[in-house]
Amino acid sequence: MRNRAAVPLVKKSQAKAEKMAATSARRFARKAAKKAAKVAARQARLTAYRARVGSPDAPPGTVQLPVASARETWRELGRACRRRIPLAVLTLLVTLLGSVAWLVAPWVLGLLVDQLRAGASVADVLQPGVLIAAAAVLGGAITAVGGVLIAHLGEHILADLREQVVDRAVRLPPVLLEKIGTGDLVTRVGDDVGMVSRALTGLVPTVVSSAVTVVLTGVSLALLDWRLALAGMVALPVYVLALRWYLPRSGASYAMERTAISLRNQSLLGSLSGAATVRAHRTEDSHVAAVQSRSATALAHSVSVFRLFSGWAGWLNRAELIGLSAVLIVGFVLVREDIVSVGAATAAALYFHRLFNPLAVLLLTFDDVQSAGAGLARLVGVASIAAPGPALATSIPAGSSVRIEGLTHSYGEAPVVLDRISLVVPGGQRVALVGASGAGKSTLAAILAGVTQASGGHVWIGGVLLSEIDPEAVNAYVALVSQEVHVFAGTVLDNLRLADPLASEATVWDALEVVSAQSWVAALPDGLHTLIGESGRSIPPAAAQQLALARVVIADPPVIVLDEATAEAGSAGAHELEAAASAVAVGRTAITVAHRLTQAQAADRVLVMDQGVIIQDGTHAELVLQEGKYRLLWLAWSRQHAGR
Amino acid sequence: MPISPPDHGKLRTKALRGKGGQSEHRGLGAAARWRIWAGTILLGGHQLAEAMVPVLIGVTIDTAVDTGEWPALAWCIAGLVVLFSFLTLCWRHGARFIENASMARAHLLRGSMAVRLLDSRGVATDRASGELVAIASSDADAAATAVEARAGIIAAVVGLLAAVGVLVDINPWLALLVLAGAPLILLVLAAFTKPIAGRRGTAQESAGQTSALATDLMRGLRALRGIGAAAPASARYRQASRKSLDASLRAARVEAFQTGTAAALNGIFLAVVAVFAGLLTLDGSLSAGQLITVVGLAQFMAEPVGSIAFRLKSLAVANASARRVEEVLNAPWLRPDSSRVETEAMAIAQVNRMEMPEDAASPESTPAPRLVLHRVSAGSLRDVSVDLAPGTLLAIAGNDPRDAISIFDLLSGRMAADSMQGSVLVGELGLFDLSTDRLRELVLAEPYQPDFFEGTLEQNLRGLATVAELALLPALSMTHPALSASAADEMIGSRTRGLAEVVVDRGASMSGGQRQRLGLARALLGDPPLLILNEPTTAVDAMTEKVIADGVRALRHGRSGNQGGKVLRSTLIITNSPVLLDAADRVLMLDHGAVVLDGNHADLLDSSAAYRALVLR
Repeated sequence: MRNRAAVPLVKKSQAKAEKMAATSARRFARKAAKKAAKVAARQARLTAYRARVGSPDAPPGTVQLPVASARETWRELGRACRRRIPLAVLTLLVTLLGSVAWLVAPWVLGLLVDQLRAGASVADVLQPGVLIAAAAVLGGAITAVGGVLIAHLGEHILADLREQVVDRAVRLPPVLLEKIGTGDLVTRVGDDVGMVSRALTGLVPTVVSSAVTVVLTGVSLALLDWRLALAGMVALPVYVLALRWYLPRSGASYAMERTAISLRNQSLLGSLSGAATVRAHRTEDSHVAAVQSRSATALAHSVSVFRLFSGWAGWLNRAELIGLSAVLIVGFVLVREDIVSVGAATAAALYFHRLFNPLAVLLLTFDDVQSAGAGLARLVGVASIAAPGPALATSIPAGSSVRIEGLTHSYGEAPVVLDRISLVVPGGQRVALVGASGAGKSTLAAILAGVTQASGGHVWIGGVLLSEIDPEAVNAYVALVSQEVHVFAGTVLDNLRLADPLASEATVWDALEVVSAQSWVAALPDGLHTLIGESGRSIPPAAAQQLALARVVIADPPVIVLDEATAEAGSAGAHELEAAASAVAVGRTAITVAHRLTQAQAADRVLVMDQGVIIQDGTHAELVLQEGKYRLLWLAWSRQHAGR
Repeated sequence: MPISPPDHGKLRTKALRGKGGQSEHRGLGAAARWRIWAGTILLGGHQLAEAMVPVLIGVTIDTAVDTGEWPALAWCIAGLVVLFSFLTLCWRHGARFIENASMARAHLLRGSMAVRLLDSRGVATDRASGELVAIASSDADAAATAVEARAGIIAAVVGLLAAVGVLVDINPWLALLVLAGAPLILLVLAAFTKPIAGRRGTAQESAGQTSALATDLMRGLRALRGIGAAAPASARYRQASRKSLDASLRAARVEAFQTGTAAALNGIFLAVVAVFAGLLTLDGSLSAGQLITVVGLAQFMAEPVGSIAFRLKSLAVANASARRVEEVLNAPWLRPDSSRVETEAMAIAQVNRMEMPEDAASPESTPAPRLVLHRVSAGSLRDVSVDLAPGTLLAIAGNDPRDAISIFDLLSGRMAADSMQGSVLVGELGLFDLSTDRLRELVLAEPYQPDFFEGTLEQNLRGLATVAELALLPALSMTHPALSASAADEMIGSRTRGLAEVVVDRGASMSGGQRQRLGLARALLGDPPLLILNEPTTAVDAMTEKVIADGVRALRHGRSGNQGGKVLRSTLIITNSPVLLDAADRVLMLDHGAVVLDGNHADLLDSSAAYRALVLR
């Protein structure tokens, strides 16, 4: 219970120890590293895709998810507690009771001192002992129950909150999602939730019980004598001033330290994961110098942060000294004036002595509480994004035709990417978009799938304006399959049932057959129930893309947009994936951004795009015979691919 | 657990067996050792003072409050002031010494690891780069906390001894009671450690899975949204979240039970001590103030005993981290430096009047070496013989992706000598007789997935990690032929700030094609005598591919095959792209590691069905 000034060091090393414990098991480290590498690779592919679909010049993540204000956060917490009123009230009562039991010992010891001075019997000594022991057992029981109650209340509120956050996140309007980027979302559902949970298990119980203890100790001192309570309060202004001096300074230097450390880690990550490149180009000296200078900067920040902290921690000792001295002096005077007994003065000193720890806890965890609060505000911010209730726009497309009129798009001030495109695609037609990079193919695809909002013009899907379809449901009508493959962690079945949780295994097998994936899935050790993705076996990109196509088959949308959906395959798997894509397109309207001209050859209709306009429109056979860009492309393609 | 501060230096000296800077670090080591000792002594002083606080409270009650004498009170308060000042100063400076020593050590370990892991000789380790980064950041920090743990244990022992000393002075039997009681409570509480660790572990695992699911869903969110599958994703998360909630609650229940038990046991212990001390007071062998002292010390004892237990645990964790750090620092070189061999080989070569490059340090003026592979079996390669004459653009096509990796690893010096059979000559010297640095001057192997680093495009193209170095070089021109040959000029030109554009997220925001073109530009800018490229155009469109094929040929091999007065350059491209194969002087085809065809693209297309099937898409 003592040794409060050492609390900072203990606290620091405990925090470190927790971090270390996570890395201690080799197996875990290995797993984590593999995961990190995979995640990094995936992230790279993903952002790469976004860079092409979105604006190449706008820095990613310019739009941030909302963050709740302090008041909104408190209000949300209040609402959450009100939803569980009986549990909340019970928790409060039990916590109060536990602290009362904790206060019995000093009181009784004070009485014992008085009795001993007055000349006591053996029974007089045993009685307080039994009382202290009984209070301890009772207090222990109450502490245990209180701990369980706090955990129940907090964990339930947190679980509700994180579920709401994820729910809002997966339902973000596509256009907003495209602007926000996944980075911020991943941080919110991953790091922020983690930070708030850790605070909930580690911080909240101690902070709550410390706060209650501090208040009740004040009350107990007052019950002994109001002047003793007043003496103890002398320490308070010192605490408050110390905190007010410290917080702004520490906030700034902690932020600087964190930035320096994250820069250091970035530099380490960059140089070490790019070690092959560093060595090949003989630039290791430059990279070592950069890492060391970043590490030295971070070290300097850490040293100055600890200097600030260790200097400030002395004020806690000073506050304790002032309070303890005041209590002893007032006790001395009151005993001298026969207002209180020696026992009461003793009890007061013991009370104040016992207060050191809870007060130190409150002060030292202040910034942890603050940062947990910031994390909470970020969660509440996402959770309070208005739930997409019954959409205003609820037109339901009839059929699978696509009509585009005067479609124009530009990213900010950049030149026009799409220039007044008009087009009618009858239901069931398979269209291939052909053109050089930057011709506007991917942008057109993104607009059709509701991912990008066009600057001007209109799109009709099945006779209904795209803007009048419930944004959340758009992709049930127009599915988008992109080069950006993602294998979800879980079984093959889990991956496919994301398209329809109720799909039977037979349906799933049928879908796999359409995309010619049934043979390799059947060959997996547990078939459909084999774990794949991050935590399971890794499958090649082409197989991942087959699964994505199989999901489309299960979701069964009338219109599909394939944006370089077969590009991942490399030369070997291309034929197979193209066949799978064609099979998925059967019975639907399909718009394909063609990576290879064989895709154009197989389509019902080819659109050649150049600088945001459609310059040619016709079947492959027609266009090959016409003078024009397509003919040139085709000749160049077939020369390279069929020998001369 | 051995408690011996002097061995702090052991790991450090081992750590710095890398190249350079040893003397500098040793000096720092001596200073750090001094600080650690000073810090440990100061923290011990702090613990001693902590033990004295309850003693002083007891004395104050006895001599001042009980007697009502003002001078006694003044002396006691003065004593408190002195005690607290001592306590504060000791902790502040002791903690600073220790903390700074620990942080400096982590910094040192990190630096050594960077030196080691980036060394040209290459480190033979089977750890993934992500794992190495984790070791260099968190394990280096964790290993360094051993300093803190050791100092903390010593300080706690000092505090413990002080408290026991005071108790023995008051009453030896009381001392025995307290000395037995405090560890006994810890022992009982330790019984909870296992179930708590188990359940907390399960809860953390479950929370980790939930968090992984959430981030996984977010990373695949576009794929999900592409088919309108938001609701199933949300439902799946809710299921995991509830499971995690249950696990957390199960852990919280044991933890609450432990906290409750601790409170109860401490209270009972206090009661026993109070009764015993009370009985002693009753027969006059203890004063009231001493009673307070005894009770206070009994409470105090739990702290250092607990601290020792905790720090022993963290010391074990720190040692585990230190072992990982040490393992990396002591990992063998992939290519043990063979400069001595090279010098000897050069001497022999000169004696034999063989042609040796005069100016070995400047790759710009070094002509391409002749590269001869004689019956090489390495990795997936089987009995490969190639003679690459200087000035040749050679392309290798194959049906097994492992062959490309094998060729690449072999020629870039990432393969150990004993994993190869046959012989490889680079110029006049064997591949493994060349020093690694010389090999890298002669051969540049641009990795298949080029890595980029923070900094500007220009910094990346020049491979410089800091801006300061860039300032020392003449500015790179946008019209540099290497930029047009790699088709990177257009892409760089489209950026608002051109070459000064900052590379975000280590290039992750660029498309695969952009990354490939930049990597190629960087390799061409290096103008190495022998350049090895692995599938350099898989992510670019057909038209750009043609630009690159022509550009590389023109830049490194002259427009129509003649060298235009420049020093000879050789290029080896591993590719199945017909466009690149067409640009090559000569094409080799590998079938599962063995050379099966040798000729030029056009002839091979005509003559071999297998070749057509391989390269025509």
